[in-house]
Amino acid sequence: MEPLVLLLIALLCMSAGAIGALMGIGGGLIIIPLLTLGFGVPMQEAIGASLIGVIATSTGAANKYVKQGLTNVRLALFLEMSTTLGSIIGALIAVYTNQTVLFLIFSMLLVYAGYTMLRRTEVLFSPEEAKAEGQMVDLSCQYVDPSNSCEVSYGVRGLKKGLAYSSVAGMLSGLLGVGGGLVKVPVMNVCMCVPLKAAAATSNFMIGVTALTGAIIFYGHGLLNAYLCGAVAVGTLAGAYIGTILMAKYSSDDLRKWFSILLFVVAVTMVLKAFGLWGGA
Amino acid sequence: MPSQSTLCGVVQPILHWGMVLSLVLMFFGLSLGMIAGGQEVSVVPLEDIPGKMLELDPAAFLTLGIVLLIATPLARVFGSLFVFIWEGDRKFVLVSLVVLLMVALAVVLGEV
Repeated sequence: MEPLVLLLIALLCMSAGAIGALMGIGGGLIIIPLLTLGFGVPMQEAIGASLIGVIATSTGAANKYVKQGLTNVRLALFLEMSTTLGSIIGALIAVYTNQTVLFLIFSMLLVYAGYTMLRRTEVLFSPEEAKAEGQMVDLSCQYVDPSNSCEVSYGVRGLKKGLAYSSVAGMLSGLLGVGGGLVKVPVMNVCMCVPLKAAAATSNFMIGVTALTGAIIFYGHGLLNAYLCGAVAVGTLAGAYIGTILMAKYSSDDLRKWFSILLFVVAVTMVLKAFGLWGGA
Repeated sequence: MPSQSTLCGVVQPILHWGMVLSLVLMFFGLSLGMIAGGQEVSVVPLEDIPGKMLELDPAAFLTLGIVLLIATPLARVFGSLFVFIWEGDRKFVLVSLVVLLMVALAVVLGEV
């Protein structure tokens, strides 16, 4: 691969890193079509590079979000139990399922999540209410919103529901190769009353562990192109840094609207993919 | 219950140094590859990395950067596990162990 092409890939991957860091998604949705459709990279190499890009986005953004207190580390670990289990089940049953039907169901789910996020305003659940409810674990957390310097303390509700939906998110990512963050952010925000910025930062943090297993397998089989992965990782790391700066500039309401739009756009690409009209994952 | 700040105090440096080291190595590997004329090279197996780094093979530097990047999220789960053990939070020791077990299971199943 020519040095100039690698440079261009790194620059374009910055957008994936920035959107990933801002919205709490991996960025594979952007990286895979970019590499396969834009640069003619074989699908397997593109998936491998995308996994590395997702880990880079997660690590780069989490570095800042953890310091700011936006990432709820305990909530992330709690939900990682079920997303990893879900992704294993998804990968195991992927060969027995009808991808077209799954993509269509997934797109409907995204439209529903986007509609719910647009229609409802954010509801905060206080740590005291969470304590009074007697949850199985206390996942309450607080952070200072970088956009207005206000301290936000929140409790987390609906832990069982959250675990169940997160396993569905994991299963979808195992089945379709997409969808972890797109499902987890609305689940945390709408069902578990986690403020959007904390939900995006926590989802972003979790995605590193979800992509990790795929990356180890790809590395073990020698399926990673070192130069391509290097270019994608450097680009997404730089992009993730930009994403964290943007997160500090915009309010939760703005981000909630953008996230809904993102869900609708992805739903359309999933319908196109179901009918074989979209090259990426 | 371990305070969020203790947890962040352990997890954040892991993420920071994992990111910095892998970025430096990948940047060096890419620059070296560009000077030598970038070729399409697959990642180097773990055991060959030190030898190839001494030969200034760009792919070896890139691979070490990629390996460090992959290891970073795993290291932060281990980091959290140690904090929970240190602070005697049994529920979250169990949660961290289940996550590590799931990662191991996924890798084992993926290799088959």
